[in-house]
Amino acid sequence: MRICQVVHGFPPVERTGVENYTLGLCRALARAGHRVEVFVPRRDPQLADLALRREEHGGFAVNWITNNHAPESPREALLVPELEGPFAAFLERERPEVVHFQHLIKLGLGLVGLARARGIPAVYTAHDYYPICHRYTLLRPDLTRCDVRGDSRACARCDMAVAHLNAQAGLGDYHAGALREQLAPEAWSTLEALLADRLEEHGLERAAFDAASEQRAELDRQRQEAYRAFDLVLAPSRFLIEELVRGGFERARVEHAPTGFANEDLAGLPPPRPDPKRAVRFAFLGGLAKHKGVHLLLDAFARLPGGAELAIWGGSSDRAYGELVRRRCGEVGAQWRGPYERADLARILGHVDVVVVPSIWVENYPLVIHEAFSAGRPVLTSRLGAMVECVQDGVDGLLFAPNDVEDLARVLRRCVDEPGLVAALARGIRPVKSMEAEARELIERYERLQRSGTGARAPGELPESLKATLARFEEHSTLPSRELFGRVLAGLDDLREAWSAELGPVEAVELLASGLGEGSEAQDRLREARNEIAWLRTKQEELDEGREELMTLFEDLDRLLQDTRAGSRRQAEHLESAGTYVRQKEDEVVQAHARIRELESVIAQKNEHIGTVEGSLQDAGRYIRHKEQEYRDVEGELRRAADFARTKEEELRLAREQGQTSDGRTRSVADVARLTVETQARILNRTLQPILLRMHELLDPAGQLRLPADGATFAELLRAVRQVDEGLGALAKELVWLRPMRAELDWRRERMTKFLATYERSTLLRLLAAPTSIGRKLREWNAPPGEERR
Amino acid sequence: MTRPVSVVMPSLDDLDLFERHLPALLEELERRSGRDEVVVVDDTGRNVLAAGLARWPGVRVVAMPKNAGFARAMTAGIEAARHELVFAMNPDVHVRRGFLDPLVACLSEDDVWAVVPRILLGGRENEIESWAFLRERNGLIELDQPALRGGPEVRALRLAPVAFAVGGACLYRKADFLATGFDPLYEPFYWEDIDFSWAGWRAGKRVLYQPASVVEHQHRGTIGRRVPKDFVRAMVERNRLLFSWKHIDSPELQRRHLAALYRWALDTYLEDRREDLVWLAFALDELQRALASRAKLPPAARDVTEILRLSRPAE
Repeated sequence: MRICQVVHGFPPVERTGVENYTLGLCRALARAGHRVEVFVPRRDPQLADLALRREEHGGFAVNWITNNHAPESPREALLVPELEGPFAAFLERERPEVVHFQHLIKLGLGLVGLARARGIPAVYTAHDYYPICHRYTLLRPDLTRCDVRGDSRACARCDMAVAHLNAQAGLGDYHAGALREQLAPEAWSTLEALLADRLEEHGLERAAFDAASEQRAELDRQRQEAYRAFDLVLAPSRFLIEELVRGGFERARVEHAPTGFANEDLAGLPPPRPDPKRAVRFAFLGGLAKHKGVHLLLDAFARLPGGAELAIWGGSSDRAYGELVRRRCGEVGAQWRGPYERADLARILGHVDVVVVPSIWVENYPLVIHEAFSAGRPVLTSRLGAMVECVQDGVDGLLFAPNDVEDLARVLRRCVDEPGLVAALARGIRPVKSMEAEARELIERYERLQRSGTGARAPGELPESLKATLARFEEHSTLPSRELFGRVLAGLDDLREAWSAELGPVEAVELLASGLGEGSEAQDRLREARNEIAWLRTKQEELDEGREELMTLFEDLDRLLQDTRAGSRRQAEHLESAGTYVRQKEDEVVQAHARIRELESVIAQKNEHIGTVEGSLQDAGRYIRHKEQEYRDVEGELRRAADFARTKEEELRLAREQGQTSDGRTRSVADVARLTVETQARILNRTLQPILLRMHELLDPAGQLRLPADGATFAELLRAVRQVDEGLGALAKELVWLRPMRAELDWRRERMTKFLATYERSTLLRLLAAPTSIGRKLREWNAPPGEERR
Repeated sequence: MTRPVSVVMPSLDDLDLFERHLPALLEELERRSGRDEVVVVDDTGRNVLAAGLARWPGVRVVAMPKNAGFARAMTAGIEAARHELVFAMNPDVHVRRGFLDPLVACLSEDDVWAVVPRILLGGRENEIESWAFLRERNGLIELDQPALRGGPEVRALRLAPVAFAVGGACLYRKADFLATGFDPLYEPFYWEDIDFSWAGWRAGKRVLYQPASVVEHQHRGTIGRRVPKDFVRAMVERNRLLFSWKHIDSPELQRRHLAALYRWALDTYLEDRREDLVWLAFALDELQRALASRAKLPPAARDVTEILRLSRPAE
């Protein structure tokens, strides 16, 4: 059978309970002749994210998918969409007949649906409370047990409390929660307030909690949906089944399936405490985490008067707690042994009489208890959770009240004080279920799922003639790629053999070389991929540089904000008023900008008009000067004519006085003079008329035009000349009106320039204004000519 | 006087298609001479078509005792045909007026093995399904239908040789068909018509494309709507390979073909192209049957390279 095991960690990278169990199971399944592929994530900074590496492990294969991204939020912890593509490709390639999920942490909920979508039965073994508690321990961050099920608001309180702990310096990089002595009093008080929903007491925002609750409710809904998709859920203990049912699982869908153990190497050890006079050798084995209660064991051991030894074996990812345990070991005279390999267990247990499991969380089916029993060592454990199902009080071990140092000290003391007790408990140990038995039971379950036809392609109404061929096709479609490839190569060898009579002897490798000589798509794609990778790396470097710059900027901004926040209320008010001021200025600038544009438009029109008027005036001026000259000439001639006339009148008067004889000649001279004057007046009138016409067009085109009549007298013509004078005066006044308008424009330009300089100098003003329309307008104003509209 | 024709249509329970396309065919046959006949082969194995087709008294129904697949149903229909000329067609083909006479005229020449009309996919004038050829590329034999690529194909306006007559609408001689038949190697469907035409080319005959005859293929996926699409595609690819293994006849082409297959297998495996691997394995599963079929081939008047050259129109 082709079986896929999906697990969150695997030896040798990770080697706690579930990981070691899965390893043992894979070996047992492989020994029974089944093909096992393990799909497991790991962190490996040497490899690109999502790189997949397949390793053969003597009978089964491990497919390591690299994921270097650590979850940064509850959502990211529960949903890991980036793994879905590689898992889908893995399923396509390997075509397992069943997928058995040992956990979903670090893997994401989405993987379940991918198996089901391909018609592959999906099995889940609940090794802890992850299906109903995102912290998987049913422990709250203050390390008290949670008794609430299915309340998203309670879970959100845990989320907020964890966020609070993550912000506490010195608590370590991984922790299931905090002990009171690890936190400053005010931090512990805040933790309590968060968990008790007394947010306001500590100035915590209710809105943030509401948002966290909503998010948690949505995640809970998705989690329930994903777990409902499993065809079969297994639980090793009845206690866990009850918890799952309390958490919303249908009882009928969960089967009780105690797990097996690959502990053959632990059998045959000498019995514990053969000499009752010798000190009892207690040991703790396992991960050093707070919820394992190692600190309680050390405190209880300190209460023993003597006659006992204690060894602490195990590593810790909770460095702060690991250090605390190590220090405490020294204080109470226990032996700190540190991490150990599974292969060393027989040797370690050979020097141990009694194993202590002092967990304060409701352990499901602790591996260490079964290891101890396999080695014939009795177990002392908390009267809690499934431990009660594993250890029979007074038969193969002793139970004590959880989280109770005194009661734990009591059972330790019994082992020391009652000489035959340890040996008697060792004799009460029942045989531990083997991994072979576990594998047999699982195969029966897998086959049962297959028989139930889960996910098989519905045949529909198929013509009879197609059925056999379609079935053959389906058979090929369900084979793993590796097997298909093997079949294809074997088939091609058959074809080569069949054609050898015509073709002559030719080796497959020769044909392959010849084929590859024609070109290989895989090679082409590999080259493309390499080029793309190189290109992506360059881009990545550029991005990293950009990110660093951005981070620096963010840090600067952060500092600025912190400085601002740290300032007094006055500063805040100042900032507020600065904001108001900036908003006002923004409005003013917008208005000024509009006004300036308006004025610029008017000025442009006026400039154009002035240009026209100036041109006309210059023309008119030149014309008038010309006509003035003519006028002066005419005036001189008139004057001369008048003088001449006066002379002639005088001469006439004298002649009149001198006698009758000269009358005729005198009349003739006067006539000549009169004619001359009239001629000169007509010339002047003709000169003035076009000037008056032009003035009329410039100054009052809508008004009535009065021109001197032909034969106008000199007095009338002189009035017309005065009209021309007045017209010139009016034009001059208009020029005088336009000058201040140009001055106003210059003044407004100067004001804007000053404001811009202030804006450029003030970082705060710039930061505040940058995202606003004022910022954009100022940038436009500041842009070089021709670019302001871009 | 034009020669009478038996129109043979294998069908599953496709009464809706008969409702739509049969009247045009009957009208055309009536217009020709009234001596032609229509034989519908009910391949449902349940004899469900006779009642539905009773409204057209001229249509004869041959019921298969059990569902036997396209090739066997076609053979049964042709065996039952009364005339020497047989127009094999699918029920989703809609004939246009005057489609039959130009085909019959072509088959009056002895060296013509089969003739195919201008089959317009979906009735679209620029998508000609029957302008169909085979070519060898990098050692693999491929189907080439240039008039389905969307561009104008002016060569398809002339009477021309083609590699094969598309089995969905083509004219055969009954005697030739019954003597050669569809090779059961290709069952349940696809490439049996190509193989039959190829037999003609091997025997020194020709297969022609007659553009003056026009039918429309109102494609409804008669197979595709009953079975998964990936299976249909796998059948096409499997039978293409079986055809190659039956017919490739020169050591040089055999060598290149084998090299191409090894390369293909390696490429698809390295690139995780499972689908191609399935096709290859699916075909190789039938290798022995292909080799048996190859062993039964009569001596050829032409080899593969020559047929590939002759069965293409001049460029």
